[in-house]
Amino acid sequence: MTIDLSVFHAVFFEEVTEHLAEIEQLIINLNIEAPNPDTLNAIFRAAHSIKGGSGTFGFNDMTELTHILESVLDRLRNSEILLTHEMIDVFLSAADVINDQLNAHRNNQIIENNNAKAIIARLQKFMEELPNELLPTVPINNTTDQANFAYQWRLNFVPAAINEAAGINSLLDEWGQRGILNIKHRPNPSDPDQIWEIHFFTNETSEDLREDLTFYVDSQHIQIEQIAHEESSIINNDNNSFGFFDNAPGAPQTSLANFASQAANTNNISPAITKIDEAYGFFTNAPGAPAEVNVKKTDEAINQVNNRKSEGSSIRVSVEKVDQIMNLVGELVIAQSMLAQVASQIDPNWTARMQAGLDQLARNTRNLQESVMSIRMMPISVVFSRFPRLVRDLAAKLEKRVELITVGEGTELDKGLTEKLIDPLTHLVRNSLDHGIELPATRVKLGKEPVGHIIISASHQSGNVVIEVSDDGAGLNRELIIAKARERGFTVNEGMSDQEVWQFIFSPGFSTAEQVTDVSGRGVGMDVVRRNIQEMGGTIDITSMPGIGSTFTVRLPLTLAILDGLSVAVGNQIFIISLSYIMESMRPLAKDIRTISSKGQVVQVRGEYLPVLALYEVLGITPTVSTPEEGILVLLEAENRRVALFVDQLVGQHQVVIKSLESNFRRVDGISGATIMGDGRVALILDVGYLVRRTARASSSNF
Amino acid sequence: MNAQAMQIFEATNGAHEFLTFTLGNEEYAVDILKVQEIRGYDPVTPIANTPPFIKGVVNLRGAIVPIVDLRIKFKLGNADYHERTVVIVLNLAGRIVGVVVDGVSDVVSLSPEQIKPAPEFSNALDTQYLLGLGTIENRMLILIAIERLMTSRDMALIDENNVTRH
Repeated sequence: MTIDLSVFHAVFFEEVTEHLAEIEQLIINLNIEAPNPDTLNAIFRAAHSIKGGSGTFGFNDMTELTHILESVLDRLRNSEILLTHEMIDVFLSAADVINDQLNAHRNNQIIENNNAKAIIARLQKFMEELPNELLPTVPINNTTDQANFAYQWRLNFVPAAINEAAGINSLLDEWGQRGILNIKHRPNPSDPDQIWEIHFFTNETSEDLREDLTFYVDSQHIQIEQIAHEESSIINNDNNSFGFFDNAPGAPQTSLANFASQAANTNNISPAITKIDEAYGFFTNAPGAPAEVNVKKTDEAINQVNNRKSEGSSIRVSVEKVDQIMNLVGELVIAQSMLAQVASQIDPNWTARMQAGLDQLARNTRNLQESVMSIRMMPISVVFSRFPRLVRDLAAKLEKRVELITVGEGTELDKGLTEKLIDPLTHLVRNSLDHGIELPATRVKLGKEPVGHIIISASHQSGNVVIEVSDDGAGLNRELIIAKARERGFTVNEGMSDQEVWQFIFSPGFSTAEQVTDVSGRGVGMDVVRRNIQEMGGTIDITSMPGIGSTFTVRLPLTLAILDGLSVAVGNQIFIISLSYIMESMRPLAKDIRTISSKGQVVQVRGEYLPVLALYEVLGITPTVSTPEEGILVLLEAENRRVALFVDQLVGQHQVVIKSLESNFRRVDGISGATIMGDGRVALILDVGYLVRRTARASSSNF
Repeated sequence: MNAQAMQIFEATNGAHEFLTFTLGNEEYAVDILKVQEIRGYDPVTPIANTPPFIKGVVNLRGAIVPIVDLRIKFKLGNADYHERTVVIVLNLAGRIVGVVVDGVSDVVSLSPEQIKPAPEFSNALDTQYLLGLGTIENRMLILIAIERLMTSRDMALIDENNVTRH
């Protein structure tokens, strides 16, 4: 009997994709100085599974590459060779190539992959490397020696003038006698933007070291701090080190605690670190945790534990099936509310028992709806997990040093939303890295830690998902933005609030970058970010302080399937407008309505003239009222345009379930979807983007 | 019998069933396999800027379904709506659409030899949307190529770029 293996291909492809994602995430989180053996084992296992599977299915190119990858990992976990930055790069590229190969097989193409050959050659090189014992002393083997010293210092300083370089070198030689000196980064003397980073295990105090250094370096540009380890609940810096770390094992590691203490020291209540407290508390509460150092890792470790727990009890279900259940439950909810409506009209004495039954039905239906919705919910870690790699690559490209911290990865939101979130969030992170975080040398000059921080956090707040992207970089430049806005012909005045000024960066084509890079500066982006987020029914806000950092706050509904809407009546029809576009609703006074060239109407709202768009005209309906002062104006803002939408009256505010009009019909201009109201009838959801664009078009063609 | 009609019969090996309905004084028929259900006419939600024969959309167990009045489209019968007005719900390649007709008659079985080609003449209904004319006793059934008709540009039911090219 022959078995057709191809039926298992889909499962295999899916598995490999998961393994690759896992490998990438684990590699990114590897600590170069002291790789966690468990992590190395996990990477090894994942690579091994890919190799096994691809062998079974005869995907030889994948087998070949994973085999050598696995061999290198095997040497690594047996401590035969030491982990280097180069290896991490090669591992990541290898994962990319495997992914390419996978996609090729998925599409049944056999491609000659030269990248694969190059990667195999580079991996082969690691196999030929000398075993560990023969390599010069390195931190990981020094644990016992390090323990003999009272302090571990991290020193950052701006390179001395070239003529002093020799002095520094001789000083470093001398220091080498007094402890274990680990030069993390030796700058190129001709490049003033680079800085020294040195880890020093010694009995010298920071004052002594500082004194030595000031012979060669301006003392303002020296930073010396205690390297924290263990659970790091003790925050140390220059002034309060008491030799807590006498017998501290482990290797130097960057610490979030340092960042927090620094911020506290400089008295900066930065918007960028508002989340730290919470995260920090979490951190100290985990005494049993291994000597992981930053919050990100601890959080992740716990996530992994959770994942492991849930793995055994989950099943794969196609999204279609879930959507079908969602639809049916939606129907049930409507049927239930119809029943309730009918029952309320019957004589109460006669229906007491039925009423009780109906109440129970209502409760059960609501619970059922909630649990079905939760099936579609996915942790936001699926989005966040892409960023470590992105940040790492981009930081290297921009020659910046950045630590990425993610908080609240377990926060759940609708699967549809997670997919749509990737683009705008990627944009915000890139933006923070490119415009926010300064170059390391600049940061040291400003008295900041050379390593910048980007914090991405997610949380649930009153039925919304709130996602924040914060950095401790330069902040937005108010003057520059105002100048650019004026240049581009926006109405600006000096008295505008920061909030109003920051809104300019969402205008199409707006960029304050002096030079266009391939990362950003073209001015496409923030407007797209805002449009994407509005399309999801969300909002975006900015807080920023010069020199301290910026925070971009994105608020989204929990699910794409539900929209917070205002229902309005025109004629005998009801329409829904998403609340995320509505600024306010008002009944204007007749004197506030003016006409322009006796055609277009405008309304004056607090000194600003907004075009009036009559919904009945757009949709060809006979209205019950024909002048704005008898009806209601709903002030809408989308795509940086504002219009006053004239409707007959407001009906109410609802949460509505969004239904596609296009699945059985076609796109209709001005309508973004439909929903089913409590009485079973269909109400259309207005496409606000279309309405404002239409107004803009109409007004430009009038002149 | 044209190529489309042949296809239908090939699939069923001999006789094939059609649902018949009336528009004014004329009798029409569609392939029974395209019919999902028959129901009464519920009030619709009108949609702006659509041709008059598209009445609007209704909620069909959670799906938003467009309703087309074939009486208006073909200018047959009186387009009035009362409790006996009938909607045939069709499922055409996964898309659901409701059509309003004057009345549903019965289900008939036709064999290929009972179907004659429709003569070419100027008509409200273009012959390209006909499978042919079916004869059963002294009735003449106009067999509609319903899928082709409903996906045509004339019906404005689907986006321009998805319209079947003829």
